Amino acid sequence: MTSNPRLQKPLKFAEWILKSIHSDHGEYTHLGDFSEVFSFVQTERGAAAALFWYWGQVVRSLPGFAANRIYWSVTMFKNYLIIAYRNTLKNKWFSLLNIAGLAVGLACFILILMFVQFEMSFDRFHARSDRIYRVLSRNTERQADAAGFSVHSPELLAEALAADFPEITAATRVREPFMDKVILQYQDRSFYQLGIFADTEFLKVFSFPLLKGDLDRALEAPRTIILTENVAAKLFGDDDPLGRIVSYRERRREYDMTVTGVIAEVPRNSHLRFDYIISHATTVAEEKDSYMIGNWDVWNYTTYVELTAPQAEAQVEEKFPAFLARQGQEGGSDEFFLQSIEDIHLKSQIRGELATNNQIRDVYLFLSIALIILLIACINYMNLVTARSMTRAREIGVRKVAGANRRQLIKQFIGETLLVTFLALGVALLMIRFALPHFNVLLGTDLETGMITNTSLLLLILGTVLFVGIASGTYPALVLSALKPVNVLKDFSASGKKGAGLRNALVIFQFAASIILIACTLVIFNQLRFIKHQKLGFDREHVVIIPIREQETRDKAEAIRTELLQHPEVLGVSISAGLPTAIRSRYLGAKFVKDSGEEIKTSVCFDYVDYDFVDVFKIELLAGRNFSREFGEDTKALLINETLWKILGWEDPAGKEVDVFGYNRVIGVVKDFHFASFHQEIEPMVLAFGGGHNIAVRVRPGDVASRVKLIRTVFENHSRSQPFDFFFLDDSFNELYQKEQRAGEIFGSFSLLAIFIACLGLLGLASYTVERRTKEIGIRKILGAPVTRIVGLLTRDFVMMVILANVIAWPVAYFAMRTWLDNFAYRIDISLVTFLLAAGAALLIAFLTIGTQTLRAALSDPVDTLRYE
Amino acid sequence: MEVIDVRINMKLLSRSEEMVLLTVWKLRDEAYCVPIRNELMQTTGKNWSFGSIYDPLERLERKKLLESSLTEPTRERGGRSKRVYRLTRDGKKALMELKRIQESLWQGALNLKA
Repeated sequence: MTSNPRLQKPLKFAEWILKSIHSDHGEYTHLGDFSEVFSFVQTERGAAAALFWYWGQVVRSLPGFAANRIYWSVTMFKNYLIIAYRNTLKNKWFSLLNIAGLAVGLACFILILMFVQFEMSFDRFHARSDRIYRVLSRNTERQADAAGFSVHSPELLAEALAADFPEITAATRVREPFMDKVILQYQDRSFYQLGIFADTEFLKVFSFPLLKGDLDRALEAPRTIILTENVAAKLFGDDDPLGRIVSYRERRREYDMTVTGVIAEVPRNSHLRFDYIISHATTVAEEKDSYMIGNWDVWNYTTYVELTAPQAEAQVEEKFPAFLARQGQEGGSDEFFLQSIEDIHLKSQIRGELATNNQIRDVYLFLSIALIILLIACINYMNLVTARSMTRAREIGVRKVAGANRRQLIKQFIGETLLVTFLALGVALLMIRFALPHFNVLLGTDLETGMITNTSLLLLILGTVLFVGIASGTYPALVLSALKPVNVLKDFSASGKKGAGLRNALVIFQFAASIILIACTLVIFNQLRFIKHQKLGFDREHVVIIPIREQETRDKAEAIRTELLQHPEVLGVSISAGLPTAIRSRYLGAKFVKDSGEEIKTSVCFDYVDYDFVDVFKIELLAGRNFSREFGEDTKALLINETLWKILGWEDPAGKEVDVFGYNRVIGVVKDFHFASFHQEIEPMVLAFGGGHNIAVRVRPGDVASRVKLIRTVFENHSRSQPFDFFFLDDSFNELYQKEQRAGEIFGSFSLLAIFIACLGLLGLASYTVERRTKEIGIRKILGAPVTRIVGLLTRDFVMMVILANVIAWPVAYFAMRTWLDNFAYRIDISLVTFLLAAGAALLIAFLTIGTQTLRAALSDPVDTLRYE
Repeated sequence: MEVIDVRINMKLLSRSEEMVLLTVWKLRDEAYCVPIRNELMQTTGKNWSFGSIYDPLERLERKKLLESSLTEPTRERGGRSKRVYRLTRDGKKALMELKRIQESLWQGALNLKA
């Protein structure tokens, strides 16, 4: 052989090719011959020539080899297909179970993949999304959320940043209107719409394509507005919207706006959601006197910056303190950070977010549930196929005797699995087509079937199918190909027992997973029921809320109240800022003096309420009195809650002097009520006397529709421009737990699917076991065994497996649910009953599944079963 | 009886098989692929591919005209063994028979004037 190191590699490679295309029964004397001639040529004509010669030999040997290979693989492939087809038809029942199980698993997984893909795509449609960052602020004193983060920053910030940082190519500021819903009106058409205020940079930083209008000037002038295509069509029909005037109305403001542009509908996967954009210049012009503009102390805006490169993030953040100092803001407690807009949807949970975000944790949770279900489906397949290996044993024996090697057999069985998996994929796609609407309701998403054509998703699906095929095909392939022809051809009944241990372990795993899901579902629904039946401290039923959205309604609120009270169906009306389900404002500087003379400074939750709040919501008074129209001086008075009273320890709270943003006197104490969700402990709270933007109407229980109609008539008698809309207090309460409700439903549906697939597998195994023991059952019956004994005999193993599954499932479910319940300040204890229920359910379902099979076997006439030979 | 034997072999032996068989006999103990190929290339003056040696060797062995054995691996051959061939008794018989037929066919042919 050559000693020239440069030639070693190509030579080795050529040798490897020869070796792999012609094994020579493992003796490789051919290779020896080649080496010998190679050395000869090398000494005669040099190493290079020798190598050239060697490669020439290799190349010339390839065509024949390839032709041979192709011929045989086509022949064998045809044979495999025929056999697979015949097998599928021969065992219709099993094929059905197999395909159904895999299809459900795949459908589930693909749906979740679609969901994940959608969630991950958020805010990535902007041309430079990797370079756009949101400015976050943190103020440990102001405490916007637990970590002190806030998405808000001062109006001045954007311009100052763009001027000061070379790394920032553009900066834009966005503000929400003061009302969540604003009325846009054109002639007689008016609609509630969601929108934003933004400056001229907005459309340049973000890629929201402008369909009509001038990109540079659309947001330049005061009182200009850009509408989305839909809103423009709703307001103007087919007319050209540009230059038309729409009126913009919110509670205290009313402007006429000129339409200067139309943009495409905002994609669903955008964290910024709006139907219109109003120019920032409008705020500058109209809110001249307000503190909002040009002030470092009022934070109402969200600032976005575009960097020169994504890597500049750290540099910019480093320079923020110096920047603040230059702006004369040093020594303050504010800090600034940057957050990539790509991270907003899944990784940001800050108060004041413009949209409800999801959590990456939830995405992972769904993904893992989907994986578990897919795994259960794979296991089914493996179990059913290996259990049935007996029926294939003779075929394998014959193939082996005819010269098939193990690799060929493995290939054949994996190929068969792939075939089944692709069939299942077809069924799964059909299922998705019909299940998608329900899935959307379940997850609260708007996925469409068309999304499946996304290339990366398609590749993922294809990858999944291949993976499922290979993963679930490998084990049966290994088992089947290992059969010894002598044994299977001589006595083919012995082989089905092989791998029974593993099969049982897999069934136990399947049931453990199902039981975990069932237990989780039960705990979630128990907690939700607990919340719903828990005494809240107020009566949330039969209350209709009408938000005041305009100045006119605000002016007429008192008149509406008076007229409503004249109807016997109306029991009470309160015009308050706060609703008992959501008192979220917080004041940090409240000062109280204890009876001991000690001064206490504490943070309190607060909201403004009127004379009727306590009565309308049926909140109990513990001490003192309610606000009353009979006392003139109540305008500076407060009610405190029980928790605050306990902290202060006053003996007689009525009439105590306090200092809470200008309010100076406590007149009474209300019993604690849950004014936030059950996730939080009840905090100290004060109710301050004042008006508000919600008209709460307590109606007499009865026909809801007629009550609402009555309220609507009264409302429309007075308020002519605000379209009537309302909600029930009950619904706003339920919204607090929407996430939990959804989690419960998701777990519920997935556990149903999981147990369904697991049962398919169990059914297959049971019918197989019964079939295998037909003769034994016949003999037992002849010897006098009663039906119950035989059913017991056949059922015992399966029941044992389900019981073992419980042993695994309980601790897992317990720890998972304890973690989940830790999110609640008020929660149930996990009881043993829950687990017993889950176990019982699994056992019952398993029993019913196998019961039909075992019973049929037990009732069969031994004469028939024993005669079959 | 002998006649029948030869007729079977005659039917099954191709020209290249015949030449390889003869070369194996001539080379005696050194009859493996490389020298057989060299010998044939020298005698015929044409290039013989490896395949055109392996195939007849394999076929002859299957017909029990040749038998083979593996030698110890050598360094020269990259640590591989040789497969060395020897004629079986049937092989020798077949060769003799072929020679006889050839000669009888040739008899008289050379005496003819062109």
